[in-house]
Amino acid sequence: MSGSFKDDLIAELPNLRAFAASLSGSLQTADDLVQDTAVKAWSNQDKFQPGTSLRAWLFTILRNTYFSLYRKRGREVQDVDGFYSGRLAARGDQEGHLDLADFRAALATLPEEQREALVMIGASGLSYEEAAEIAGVPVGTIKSRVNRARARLAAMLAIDGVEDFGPTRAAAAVTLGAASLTAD
Amino acid sequence: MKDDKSGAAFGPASGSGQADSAAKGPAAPAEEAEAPIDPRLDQLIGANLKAHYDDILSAPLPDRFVVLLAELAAKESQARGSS
Repeated sequence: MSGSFKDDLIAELPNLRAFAASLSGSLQTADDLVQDTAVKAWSNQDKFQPGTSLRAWLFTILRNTYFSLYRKRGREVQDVDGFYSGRLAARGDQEGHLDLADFRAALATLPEEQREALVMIGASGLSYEEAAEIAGVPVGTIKSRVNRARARLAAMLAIDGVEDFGPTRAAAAVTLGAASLTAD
Repeated sequence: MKDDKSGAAFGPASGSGQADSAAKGPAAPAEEAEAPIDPRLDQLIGANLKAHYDDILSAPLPDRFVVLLAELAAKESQARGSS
């Protein structure tokens, strides 16, 4: 972690992309969001405190940009650019995984605040403290959001029972769950 | 993954400098009385979440980002040279 700011920033771009896509539900929007974030980060690099987490700092910029500028737009393009139609990287399905498109569809039904908390904690490798600071809420709120996100997804996935989880049944369960679960 | 802080993950916030700014209340209210999640489901959710995320992580990075940063860096060194 001691390269130039530029190198460090480039190294974080895949993570920013994954977070942005999780937030917006669109890879196309995600890339625009990452570009804006990179430009802002570059021009504010003197405000970054060395020794703190660059990832957390960048996530904060990206998240603020998303909520102030992109939120509506993301919803508009959410389903048209085919982001949920499948995998980006060609890789064999691993055992026990749902079809990725189905899981993404389920993830997209979560309220944004729950979704971002779940992703930051469950996938981005951030601590609860970092996630709380990024979202501007107390740690307890992040915990609560993560738990509610997990409970919702579990309710969607549990419809058919976990024992006989095959790809087809799993897909059906997710579809059913997504249809019956709406906003809180 | 940097899990060095995971031991304190459930403790109180250490760097809570701005914790009170956007607080919606004291700590999180237990709004939805949640039944414990089936561990197998929880594991499935975790695995799928990672699969979703890693799918994007491992996708090739569009060239536009590398180009963009090269341009920003070039602009900066140009500005530095001329001022």
